[in-house]
Amino acid sequence: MARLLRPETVSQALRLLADGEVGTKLVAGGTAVMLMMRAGLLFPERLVALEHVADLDYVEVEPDAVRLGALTRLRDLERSVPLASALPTLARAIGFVANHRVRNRATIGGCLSEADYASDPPAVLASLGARVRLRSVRGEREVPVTDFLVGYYETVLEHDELLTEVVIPRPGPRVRTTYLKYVSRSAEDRPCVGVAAYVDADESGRTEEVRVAVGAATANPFMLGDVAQMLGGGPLDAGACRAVGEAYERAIEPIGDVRGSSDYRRKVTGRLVARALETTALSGHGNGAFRL
Amino acid sequence: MEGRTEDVAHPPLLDAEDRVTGRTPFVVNEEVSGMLHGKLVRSSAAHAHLVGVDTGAALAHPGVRAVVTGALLVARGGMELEFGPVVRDQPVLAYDAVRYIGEPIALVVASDPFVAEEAASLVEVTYDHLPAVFDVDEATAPGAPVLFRAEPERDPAFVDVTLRADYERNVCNVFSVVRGDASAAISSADHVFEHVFESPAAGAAPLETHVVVADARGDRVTVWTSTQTPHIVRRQLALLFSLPLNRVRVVVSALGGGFGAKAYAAIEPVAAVASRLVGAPVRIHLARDEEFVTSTKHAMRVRLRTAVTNDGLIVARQALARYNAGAYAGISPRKVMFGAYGLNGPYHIANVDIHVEAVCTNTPPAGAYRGFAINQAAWAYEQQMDIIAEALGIDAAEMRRRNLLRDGDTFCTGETLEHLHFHELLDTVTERIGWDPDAKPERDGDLVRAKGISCVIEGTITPSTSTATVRLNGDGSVDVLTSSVEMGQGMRPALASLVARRLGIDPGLVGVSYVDTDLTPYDQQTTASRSMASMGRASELATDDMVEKVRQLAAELLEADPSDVAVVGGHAQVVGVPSRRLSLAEVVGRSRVGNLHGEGTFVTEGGLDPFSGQGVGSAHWHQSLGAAEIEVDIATGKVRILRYAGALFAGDVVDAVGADHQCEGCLVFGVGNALFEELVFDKGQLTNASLADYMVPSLDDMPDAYGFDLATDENRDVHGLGEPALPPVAPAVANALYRATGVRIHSLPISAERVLRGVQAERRSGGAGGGTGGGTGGGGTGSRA
Ligand SMILES: Cc1cc2nc3c(=O)[nH]c(=O)nc-3n(C[C@H](O)[C@H](O)[C@H](O)COP(=O)(O)OP(=O)(O)OC[C@H]3O[C@@H](n4cnc5c(N)ncnc54)[C@H](O)[C@@H]3O)c2cc1C
Repeated sequence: MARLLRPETVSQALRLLADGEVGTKLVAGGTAVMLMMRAGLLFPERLVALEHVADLDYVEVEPDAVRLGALTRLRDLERSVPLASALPTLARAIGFVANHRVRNRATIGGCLSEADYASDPPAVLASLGARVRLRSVRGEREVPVTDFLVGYYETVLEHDELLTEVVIPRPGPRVRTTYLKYVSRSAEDRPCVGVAAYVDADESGRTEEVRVAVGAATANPFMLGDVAQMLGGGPLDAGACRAVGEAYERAIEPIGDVRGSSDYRRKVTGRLVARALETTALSGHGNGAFRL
Repeated sequence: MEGRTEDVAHPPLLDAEDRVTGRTPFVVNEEVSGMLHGKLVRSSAAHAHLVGVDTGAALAHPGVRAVVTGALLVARGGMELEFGPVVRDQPVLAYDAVRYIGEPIALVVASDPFVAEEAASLVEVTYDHLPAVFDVDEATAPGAPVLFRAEPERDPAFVDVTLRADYERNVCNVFSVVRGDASAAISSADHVFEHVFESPAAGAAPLETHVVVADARGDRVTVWTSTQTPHIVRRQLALLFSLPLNRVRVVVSALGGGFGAKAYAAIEPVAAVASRLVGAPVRIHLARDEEFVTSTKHAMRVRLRTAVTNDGLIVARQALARYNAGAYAGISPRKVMFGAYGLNGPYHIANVDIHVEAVCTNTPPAGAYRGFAINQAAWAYEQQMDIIAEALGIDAAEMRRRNLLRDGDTFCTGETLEHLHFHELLDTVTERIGWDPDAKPERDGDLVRAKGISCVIEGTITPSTSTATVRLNGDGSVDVLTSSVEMGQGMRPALASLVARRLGIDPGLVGVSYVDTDLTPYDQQTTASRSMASMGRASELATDDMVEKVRQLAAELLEADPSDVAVVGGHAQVVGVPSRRLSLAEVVGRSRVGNLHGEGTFVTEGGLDPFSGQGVGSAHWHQSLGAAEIEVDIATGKVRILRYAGALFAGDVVDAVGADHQCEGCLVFGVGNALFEELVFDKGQLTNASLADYMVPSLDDMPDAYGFDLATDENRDVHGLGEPALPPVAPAVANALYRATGVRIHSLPISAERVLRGVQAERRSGGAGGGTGGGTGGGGTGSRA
């Protein structure tokens, strides 16, 4: 049976990880770890529980960036007034994760480190250009979320590293963002496809920067790099939204699972990318998240 | 006292405070001193001979007390090796063959449940694999693998079930309803429609999984267990151990949900047998993945042929339906009867020829499930009704109006039906949903809205028996002793209010027992929406019996003739002389009887001939309609139910709040069944045996607005509302989807992916109307000029 360790500071936790090697597992909210242990997929020898680590639970809104402590619970993020006014789409998308019982335990650091493809926040964070800070006794590094997630349930975390903070650059005042969470079954299900859109356009509608991250369909959030280029700086009208959707539909190679086959996800992706862009750029509903 | 009864708007739920504060005594909390914990080792083969079960490593594991195997039971002797409610075909532990993935092979018994679980993974099973079969049509085809070489023994207690088994075709029972001349009527009909519809297996998913503590030491067997059928479990254990009934005690406190899955013995036999062998009480509590393979909804496929006149009058119906019983018969031999008359639907059809088979396959056993056989039938015939109506250019509501049964009509069973309210219920639901025969679907971008309706008839288990004891205590409080099971349906508060109403006392003065077969009298089972109808009636009769005794005693005390004494408002009084009266407490106290018992027995008669389906099918008929307004997103195929209106005939309503909750519960169940619930198998291996992969609905999946209208008649019996609101839900949604999109889904569930596939096929074919099949099946029409 696993030994349970409860460090109270980040440096204690880092030391435990450093002499841990294999068989050591971090537990934040435990919502993913416990399920994996119950399902017999994980047999850790040591569990390093982070719930007593005090200084990683915060939301800090700075002029250029928003910083989230890795141990901040999803429920607190969803209810954070500063977060809702700085990054409304993210706050609302987090409110769509699972149900309030899970959100009361789950942490933003755990959500990213689990790297489960069927998740909501990673796509939103990817579209916002967020970065994560990783610390170990050896030092610290910062990597973009898009580089942090590298495969199914796979991140660049070394065995001795702790994700301590998520740093999200604040979008300029012109930027509009949207997240569509599409669940194919129950309202509390994980996403079948999630689409996060980020549109920076000037008054005339000319697009400066357009980013679209599709979550839950591939191992990690799927983004085409050259959306704005594809539009040639032109306005994001209905036809352009459709064209981007079609480009995503052609390019993506989705996974098939109980929530939908690969082919189904591909079709849904095309339509929902178009819809997310329309919602962001055309509907006047910019800066929101919607569950379909 | 009388005044207070008036004040109570609806009775305070007996149990309400306990439920809210977490004190309800669920079976899962039952502990017996010295109890050990068992973990089942289950088959990983769908169909195989058992070559060997090596328990050495598990036995050597520290903390393990015993590993019980089928071979051990065979060697020990003295106990039956199989059990089952109708036929005894299910091994307590497999000893010769395994017939589904998940079948119990051994039980590891340890002092700690986690130790038992660890050790269970150390048991090595060697199989000699046999060809397996999973589909009902394949299982009945020539050359299919055969699950049973010899016909299993039957339990003579289930006399009402006649067996027409054909084990060479894996058929454990057949039931036919034949009336008139269907072939002749079909060959001369104006139009004939034929379609295939399918329902998948599903899980009842009670929050509390099956749990039992068994103590079989000495010359008795006691089980504390999560069963809906305490007296049948008692009977099944008595047979297993060759004991008289009074040596078997079945204790049942509150269940954390049942929905049919907890009917009939499941893990009680293996726990009891292990306890006998180990010499200690043994507890088994199923993990969620085990729950999913313990009792499922029957998968079913039906080919349905219906003949109509140009005016849309149904003249004949033929059907061949196969319910997938899984590896063991369970209650399937009775279910085919419900399915057979159920497929007639609530329509007057003069010529009927329906055959329903229960087929054994290498899948987990299917059992009772809310809506017993009727969900699958209604899914088929109510969609076909809409298909026919459209083809004939008749409005779907009008099509039903022309065919729905009316008082005095003869049903397919030969019964003349009375107290029918179908037409009135149809008017109610069409008005509630705002039915407009000419309505076009409403479109807003990718979102399309439309409405659908459906109508269902359902019987209750007949014949049936319930008995109750009502006890008046020295302080005037009253106890109802009953073996009906409280599983969250609110049976206890409802019985309390029924008895209180009869006595004219505050429902708060009436208590209702949990089940203990040593003490509580016989009840057949808590299934089939029967408890309020059957146990309710038995309790009323018991109350009357007790009142009679009160009158006799009070007459002596009041020096009056017993015929002049009446019990009103909690008092015995001389009729016409209100001052000469005694409270119920005074009657007991002054007459020094200690307490007073009343006994009540309620028996219904009936039964159908299994070859013709003629006779008495049901003591009363549930009549249930539903209307749904849905919104479908044609970009994703996702269906959302916006509004739902149900209407049912309920007879006498005892507890209005409880009645509404039962209907609401049926709707939750129906939403899940309609939109996403499905047990997915890969060569017999269940692939979604967790609540993350198997979806049950959440509150956000419920329609924004819904309600149920109950047609009542105080002069009729209580009709029971545990199930009837459920079967109309899925076909009403499917019919609405068709009206919105032209997509006809033949196989449940109405998954987003199936709908999108249908929408795209419809678009390619130019949306000419007419059904495009999502999923398998489909069908066609043949018209005669
Ligand atoms: C029923 C259910 C429904 C769900 N539905 C959704 C949904 O709709 N959308 C969605 O996005 N997600 C969903 N999830 C996933 C949920 O969001 C994650 O389980 C949760 O965010 C994980 O956070 P946690 O703190 O509980 O992580 P834990 O379970 O504690 O840990 C998860 C993993 O991350 C590691 N870890 C944790 N913290 C750190 C850290 N600071 N540094 C390094 N490694 C760390 C752990 O070692 C482990 O490998 C659902 C989960 C459940 C149980």
